[in-house]
Amino acid sequence: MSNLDALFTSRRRLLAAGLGGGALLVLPAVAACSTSSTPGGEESFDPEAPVTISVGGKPTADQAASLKTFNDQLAQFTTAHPNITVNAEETKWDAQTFNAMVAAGTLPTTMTVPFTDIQALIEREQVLDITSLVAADSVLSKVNPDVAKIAQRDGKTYGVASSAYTMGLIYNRALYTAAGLDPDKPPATWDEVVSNAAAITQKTGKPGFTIPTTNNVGGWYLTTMSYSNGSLMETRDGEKFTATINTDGAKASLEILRQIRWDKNAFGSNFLLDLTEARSKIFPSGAYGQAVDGADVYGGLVTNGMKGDDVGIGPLPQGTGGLGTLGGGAVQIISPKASRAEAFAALEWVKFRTLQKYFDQELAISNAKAAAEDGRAVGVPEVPVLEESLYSSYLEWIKPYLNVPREHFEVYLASLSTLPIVPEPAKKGQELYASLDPVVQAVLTRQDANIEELLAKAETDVQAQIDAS
Amino acid sequence: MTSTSEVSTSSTPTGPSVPRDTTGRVGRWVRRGGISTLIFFIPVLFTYGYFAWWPILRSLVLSLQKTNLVTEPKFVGLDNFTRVLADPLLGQATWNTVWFTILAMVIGFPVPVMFAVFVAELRRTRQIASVLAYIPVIIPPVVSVLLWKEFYNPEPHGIFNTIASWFGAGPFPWLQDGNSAMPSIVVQATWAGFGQTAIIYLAALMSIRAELYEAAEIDGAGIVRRAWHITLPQIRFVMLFMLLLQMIGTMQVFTEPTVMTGGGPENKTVTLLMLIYRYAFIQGDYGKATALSLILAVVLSIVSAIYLAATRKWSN
Repeated sequence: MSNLDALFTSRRRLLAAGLGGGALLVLPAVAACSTSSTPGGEESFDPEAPVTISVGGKPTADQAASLKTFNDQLAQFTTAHPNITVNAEETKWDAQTFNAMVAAGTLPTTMTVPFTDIQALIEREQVLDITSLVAADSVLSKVNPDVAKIAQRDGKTYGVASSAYTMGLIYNRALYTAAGLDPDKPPATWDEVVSNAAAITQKTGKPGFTIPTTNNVGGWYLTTMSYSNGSLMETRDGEKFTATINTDGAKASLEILRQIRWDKNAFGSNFLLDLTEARSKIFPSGAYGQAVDGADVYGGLVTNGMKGDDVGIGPLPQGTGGLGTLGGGAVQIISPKASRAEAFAALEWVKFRTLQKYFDQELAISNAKAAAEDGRAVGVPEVPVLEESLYSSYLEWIKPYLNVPREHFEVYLASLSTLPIVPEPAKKGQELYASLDPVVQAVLTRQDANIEELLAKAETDVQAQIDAS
Repeated sequence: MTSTSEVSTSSTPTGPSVPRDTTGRVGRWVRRGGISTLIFFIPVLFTYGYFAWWPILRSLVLSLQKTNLVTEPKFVGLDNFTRVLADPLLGQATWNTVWFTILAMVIGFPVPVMFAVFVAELRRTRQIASVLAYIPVIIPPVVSVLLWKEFYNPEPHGIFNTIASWFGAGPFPWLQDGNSAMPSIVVQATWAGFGQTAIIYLAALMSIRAELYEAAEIDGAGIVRRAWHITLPQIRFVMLFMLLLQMIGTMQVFTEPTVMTGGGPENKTVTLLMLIYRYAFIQGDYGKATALSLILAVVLSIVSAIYLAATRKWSN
């Protein structure tokens, strides 16, 4: 029996004992349940009673090795939890189908959503409050607090982070070399980013820096850059949210973009770049020198034809009073229509599927081997979701299957323990990003764009939407 | 109804008329193919009812509600409409949509008419010309939009910029500039859709009696006068109808700006349907999305009614 199995078993016993009216240990959890206002939050349940759950994220048939590992893991889970019947489906996050699934009642009991959307789902009460279940669990309650807070609001927990990364500077090591820059020394400041962009354009003729600017992504990146330049986009005082867009940090960030575009002429000529296009085509083709993005893009870039050795990942450069960087990753949520028993069973699956690899060497190796066989990246730089020592052991176990040149990312990896992760704007985050897209586009397409005016207008617009909600 | 009652009365002068009357009606209805009509009608009724009318009804209700699709929806009166009208982007999106429609009328309306008139004059190559014009229609919209996005590549080596360079012009920013973005999208939309409209015009042209042209030729009318005095008057009803359809269609433009520009630069190509999409799928606010949909539907209905009333005399 692995460490995690022992934890699962002991927890089941505790809950069962608690339901029998005994153990004081479960009282905090029961108390938390009684105050929960989410559907199913006040039910008591027998954790050993038969229950059926559906789980998303089943690998598709083209990922043969990963699918086999998934099915093996499912069989192991069912053996360890004979009372839980799991219906696995390939459902993945898609903003266009999520609401339809919620309305139709076909949302899996648990599925993965990206960090960027969890706060909006919490705001709309479309995910289950699992505070008490997480607090009562000896593993889930130990998720890295910096990562866990991504799925928290007002002291309540609405999801379990299963993987995390931070936004950083992605650069093309080959273009760095061609421009006479040291690919092992990513820029630490924005000034260096600007000068490196100019050098790349001058020496290679290729744009030295870019960011996508459409479909809320321009706003997302401007927010990331503003954090690194010392300003939040939104503040909160009790129940009152205030848009703080017209700040020194945002101005400094736009000034950086202005310099690269107009002073250095190193931004290229596409100022309406789409995120998917940037990740799947533009950057992998080696057309750009630097970009802001999440460290997890490594896998996608390589899949789309970029050489792994050409991918450079550095920490997000920090300006004056830099607050840190924005985080990204995957959160496991529970359907808002799930009963408490289903939520409990689903969280057991989430632990088994996403966290057991940090406790079970055999499973860790099996997962890594399957991913490598399917041609997926193994060892992508990420923020440990559990404590550092567990993550180090895990990396040691899968060392033979690592196909990511982690030695290229040493500076980035070192920053993970020092650079704070700043959450996304909690209130009307997507609306805020949408209001910032045109601001970024204006700076890139009009040399006379008035940054102060643009930010002031965006701030007024976003505040109006916050107030109207 | 009149004939039915007359027949019934004459056949049952003294007896209890109602049951026999009903039986007679039903029997006649069956004999006249009522059951087969009903069998054909039910699938249509079900399909339209379930997939069109019911969603429209639900939209009406949803526009008055606040819902997260999980808990019971709350009726909020006209709050969704108020929030839509307070959206700072609504004015820009409305103007952009109207601007697209105007440009589509100016660029997109005459092109298929002229093409159809030209092709109608052809003898041997009419079929080939028609097929060539129709080819863009069979290309999936997203594919053709992505194709044109490549054509509009702002780099000097972009296809249109390369062509422009042959004449010593450019490079042009095309979609990257607030002034040229919308006209660029309209040109693509015209290319993609004119074949279908042209085929309809061509069909209308083919129905014009040949004697009219023969008489005009005898009177010495050239091609321009023939087109002006015979062709256009003969197909005016089709033209007016197509203009209305085109206007309704262009007011609902979505795919082209979404794929080409994402609404940029600086919201210069955000349209009303893109706003509805953002409300529903980015913000998850179905109340606002259905409220704006309803406003758009009402406005289009009113504009259509005014248009039909204003052009009734001419179309007759």
